[in-house]
Amino acid sequence: MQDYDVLIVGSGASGGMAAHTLTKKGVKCLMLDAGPQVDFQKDRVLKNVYDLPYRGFGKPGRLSHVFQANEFNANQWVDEQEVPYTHAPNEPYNWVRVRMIGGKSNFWARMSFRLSDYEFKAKDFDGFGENWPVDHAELDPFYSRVEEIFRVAGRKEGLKQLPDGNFVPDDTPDSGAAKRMAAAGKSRNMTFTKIRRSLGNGQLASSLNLTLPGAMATGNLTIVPNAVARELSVDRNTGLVNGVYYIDRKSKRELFAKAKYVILAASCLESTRLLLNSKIANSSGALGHYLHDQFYITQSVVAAVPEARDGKAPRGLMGGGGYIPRFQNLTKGEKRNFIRGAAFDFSTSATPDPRILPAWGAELETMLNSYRGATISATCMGEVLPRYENYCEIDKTTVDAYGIPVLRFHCKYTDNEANMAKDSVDTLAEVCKDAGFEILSKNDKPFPPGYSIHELGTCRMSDDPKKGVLNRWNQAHDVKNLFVVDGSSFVTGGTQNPTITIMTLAMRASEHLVEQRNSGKL
Amino acid sequence: MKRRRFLQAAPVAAAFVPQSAGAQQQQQQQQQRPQATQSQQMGVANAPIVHLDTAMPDEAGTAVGPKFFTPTQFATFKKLCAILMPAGANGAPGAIEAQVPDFMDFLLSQSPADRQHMYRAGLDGLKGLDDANAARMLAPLKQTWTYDPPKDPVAKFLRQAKIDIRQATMNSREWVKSAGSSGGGRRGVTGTGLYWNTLD
Repeated sequence: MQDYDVLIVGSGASGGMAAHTLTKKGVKCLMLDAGPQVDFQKDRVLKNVYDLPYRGFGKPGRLSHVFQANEFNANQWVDEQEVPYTHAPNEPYNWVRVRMIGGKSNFWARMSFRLSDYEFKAKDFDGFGENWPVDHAELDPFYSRVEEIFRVAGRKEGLKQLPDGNFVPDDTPDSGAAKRMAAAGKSRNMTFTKIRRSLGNGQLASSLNLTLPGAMATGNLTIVPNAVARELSVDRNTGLVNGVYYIDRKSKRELFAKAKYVILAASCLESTRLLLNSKIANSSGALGHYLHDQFYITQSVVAAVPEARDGKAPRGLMGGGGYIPRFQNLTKGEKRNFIRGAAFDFSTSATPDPRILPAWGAELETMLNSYRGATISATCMGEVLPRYENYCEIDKTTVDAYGIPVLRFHCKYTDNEANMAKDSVDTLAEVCKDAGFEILSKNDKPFPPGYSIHELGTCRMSDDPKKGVLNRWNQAHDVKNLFVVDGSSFVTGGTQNPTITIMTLAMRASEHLVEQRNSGKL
Repeated sequence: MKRRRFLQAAPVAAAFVPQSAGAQQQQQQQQQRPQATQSQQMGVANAPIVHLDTAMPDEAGTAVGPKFFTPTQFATFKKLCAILMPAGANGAPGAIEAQVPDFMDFLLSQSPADRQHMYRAGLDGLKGLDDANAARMLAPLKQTWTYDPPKDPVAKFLRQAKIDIRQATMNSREWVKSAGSSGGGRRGVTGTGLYWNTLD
């Protein structure tokens, strides 16, 4: 059995970035992933919806927590019977998972927004929770390098709440409808920009095509698919981790891989589950706690542009989308019934969901045709406060198909999220009215926690070992040769999609590991 | 080539998979191998493996049922389908032509209990639905939409049934083929998608 320097659990965005960073510095890495290696050519086939057994509805009851699932993509998600989790009936949690090489980075929406010091130093601003031990200036050079690899397109705006990055310039014009919204939103402190998005390379912006191939090319990376990590092993004399027990997904055979350093990049909740099952790195008592994400409301405001109905939109009025960064509580002393804020992304070429139109039959089809492409639809993404009371733990009564104890969730949104959602949606609806649009529907009720697939915070970082699982380098306070580089290290999440920040922290932590090792400190 | 056969071949035909020079050379060497294999000796060396263009189960047979709905509920549901999703003037099939009642009976027979209850309660409340009373009985669908689910079981059912019936119609073989044959397709028809096989 070969000896490896670093064992990386997980091959998604964060694991890929760790491997990319380490292998280029000559570090021998072993990467385990619980899922198979997929072939996007062979594993997908074009099918008629009517040839699917359930006409596109999907098998009833399968993937009941995965609202993103449909009958075409059902097999890409983790089977909830194979790897279950539990929650009380009145505390629904949507844990949406992917197990394959590349993980969720194969499917993410590619939205790539930096966090700002409104998030990194949130406690300084409003007194709630804790600050991150790092700030934007410290992460800025790492963000820039990650943005270069993922080719993030964006438009520089100079916004304090949404720092600019190392962008592929997005010079596409705003639609006329977006300009009208922007003009109407000024009085409500709204700013508008383009969606910042990882262009990637070809069909994907994934670890599968952007970080892992280069890591493999160094000759320093060994990837093992279908290896389900069960428990980390600890040297009783040193207190350091020295390997991982894992299960061959196909044979259910248990194996052990040893390593000098371990990086967990299995996703926020899988890394947390592994640590809880290993009974390590929890002297702070924070492990599993402070679970948060962003609440999501799709179709939060749906509004029609009258001049665009019936296919009569003048050139440039409709089309494309945009992004409204957080606009609430950006100055101290704002009188609101919530702290922090929400953001929107929107499309200006939508067609309304038929269910919201008060008609059926031929009348419904006529209305739909009239509104087709003449509608704005906005998704609201709000900051969820990281609270100790929202947590996951090991459910001692349930194991998965590999005999590994599963997670049980205790997570609820509070009045802060509800008040924020209502204020945000009401404000955008007013903006749309002022812009001369017809409001077709508005919704201020978020999906259950977890829906955004942005779970964060369960191994949060802190300079104080009593308050956090990890230090400022994503390194476990209790176990110095253990790093956790996925979203679990977040202290607060803001409104921004977290992946680009996760990869930034993974790159930084990996370089720190190498520096520590080379200097003999680790 | 039939439509299904075309689609099965499409990803392979469309996909450009670059091969390394080494891989191409290896292929050529294999093709030029001089020794006759056993199958070559039997005269079938170059016979391609034919992909048979088979039919789907629901193309060959008709539904046996109803298995979920009672006869009365089924009759009401059929009427509801005819009203909510009638055949279009442009030749588009309606829910009846798309065999939506039979399909939904099958789907509901496998659905979770809360969905089954919603359908049964709603259809029981619509007993006697006909063209003359449709405007009154389906009035909840004319109300301004809100995201708060209605408490009335009929109103709650109608919201769901309106979307289910429309989707089941537009995802049917009859609908997609009708759209395809009308030249250029009907707006809103998606028809095809990339299906993930079960991962090995």
